[in-house]
Amino acid sequence: MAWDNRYVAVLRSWGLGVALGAGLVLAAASLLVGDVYVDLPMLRDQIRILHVFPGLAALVLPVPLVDRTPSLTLMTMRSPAVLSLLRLGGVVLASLPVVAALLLVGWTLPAALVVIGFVGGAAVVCSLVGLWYWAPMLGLLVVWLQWGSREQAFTAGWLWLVADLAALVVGGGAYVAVETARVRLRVRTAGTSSESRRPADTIRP
Amino acid sequence: MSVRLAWLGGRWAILLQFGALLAVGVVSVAPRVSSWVGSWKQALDFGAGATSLMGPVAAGAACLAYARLRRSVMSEVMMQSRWDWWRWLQPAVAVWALASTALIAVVVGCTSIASAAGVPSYWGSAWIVLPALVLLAAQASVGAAVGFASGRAWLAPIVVAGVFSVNLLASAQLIPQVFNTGGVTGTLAGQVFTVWPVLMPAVAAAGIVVLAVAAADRRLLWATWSRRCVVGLGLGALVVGWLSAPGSNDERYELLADPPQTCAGTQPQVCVFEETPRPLADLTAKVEEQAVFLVRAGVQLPDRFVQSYAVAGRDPSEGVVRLIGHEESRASVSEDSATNTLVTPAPCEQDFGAEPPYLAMDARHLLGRWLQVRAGIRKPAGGDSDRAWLLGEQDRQEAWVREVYRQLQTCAFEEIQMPDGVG
Repeated sequence: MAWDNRYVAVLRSWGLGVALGAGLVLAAASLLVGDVYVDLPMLRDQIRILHVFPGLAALVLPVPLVDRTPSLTLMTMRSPAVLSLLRLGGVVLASLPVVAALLLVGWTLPAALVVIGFVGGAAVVCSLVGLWYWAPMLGLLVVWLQWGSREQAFTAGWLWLVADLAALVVGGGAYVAVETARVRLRVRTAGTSSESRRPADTIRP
Repeated sequence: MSVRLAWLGGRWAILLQFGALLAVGVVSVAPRVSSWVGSWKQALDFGAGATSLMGPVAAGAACLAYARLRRSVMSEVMMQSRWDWWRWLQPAVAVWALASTALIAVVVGCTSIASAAGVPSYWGSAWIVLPALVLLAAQASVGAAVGFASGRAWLAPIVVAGVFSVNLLASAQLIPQVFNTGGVTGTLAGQVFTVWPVLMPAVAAAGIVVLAVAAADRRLLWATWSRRCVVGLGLGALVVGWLSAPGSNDERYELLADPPQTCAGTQPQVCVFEETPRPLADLTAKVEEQAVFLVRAGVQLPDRFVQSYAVAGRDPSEGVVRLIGHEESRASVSEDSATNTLVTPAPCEQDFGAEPPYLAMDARHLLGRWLQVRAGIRKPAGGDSDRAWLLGEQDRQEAWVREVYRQLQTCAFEEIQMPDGVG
């Protein structure tokens, strides 16, 4: 079965396997830690260590959103929008174990889905700064721990749900748009004579 | 552009990395600015503690730079050169220099803000920044090792999360305070940094630097016997540093026997720690304002109210300054702090005993409410159990006040009797 090896190869080269593994590790860790409180100097109050995991997920899980083989992407026959959407979908899937673990420890669905909202935010940052996306995410982690993660995690209602989904849709949409535009631009400049740019190897018209 | 910096990217990229380091440093000190602004030593400690966020960023930056280096043919050229380990280290040194500059900028920023707020400075404690700088080197070298050994730039976020999580483990007290370089939540007034518990994390961090370089590529520190000895030393440093690192944050500080005080006012005189003088003026004004009503009721006030942590060695004729929450750092204090101070006319052993002195606490509470009602700060609400007494006959109130104040002053808590119908 050659085709399914091919899919596995794509999954691995995008890093979705690593993301899924990281998601499972974070999910297992959030189930294991229990009600440990930590006192971080940068925060005013003590926090439950559990609240760190959505932030860590925002740091680690979006890795596949950054294209590791940009020259290969230029040669694909699929639409670049479809590829970006598949990457985004893969990362959302990889974050589901963390969402499930947070639900299991008693967070409401809108609160647990904050992980997916973070993925949306990370997506737009990825499209702007590539593999440096984790630096703004580290700032987001502190902001989340300082103001976002209190007892609301157990009571959060539809407002959080709207915010989470809006972050995913807006951030993800921006990511797909920017990535698509970037590929289109490179393909277009590759076909024309360009002094400044290195011609990209492409078979697209 | 210097060769040393080349692997970090172009000029703007380097500037952005410095900006990112500085930004997370500011993020890690800013939320508690109202806490550390009143104490120079706490500001220093907080600035040095910014490694908890700046370290992960340094590790991530080093990981990206070394993955790039590994992917280039230059890595082999470096490995063949005479000073291979030094040439190999140069990008990491560059990242470390950026991070150290940012950390020192954060520390200088914090302490300058404290100084500008009118707090005296204690430059003798500035050495605690050194362990923080060594820890930054350790964190950057871990990132460099992962980046170089794998050649994979996309591991950077995972390294960042890992380095950050190690700090969490220390905060949760699951591992010794090896990666703790500061960030205390108290003012540190009347305390000093203990030398070895503060330095031990630096020893462990130096060991981590050596081991990380050795792990990045076998040729670097495993090629000759002399280099293997260095690795052995590094391992020894890590073990020694780890085992002798403090088990909790409190071990980093110790109490001074007789911390210097700064005083103001005359009726009565009010003293706070010299290191945290911000609340003094407002506290003195409020204490003098409220003290008038106690004196009018015929109470003999202590001449002085003094701030301290312990009863031992205190003059029993001096009252105790009691500031609420973070008011030790604030320029303005609440009326409650002045009241709490006035209703604690002596340092008593019972206040620090195993069993809280409930009767004395009730008496101080009622005395404080009486004082605030008399001073016009508070009005008894409809449902208060002491409302009838507070609005009742003035002579009986004052007799009770005089009696209970004498009992609090002599620590004769067992003699205290609450007024009828109250408590």
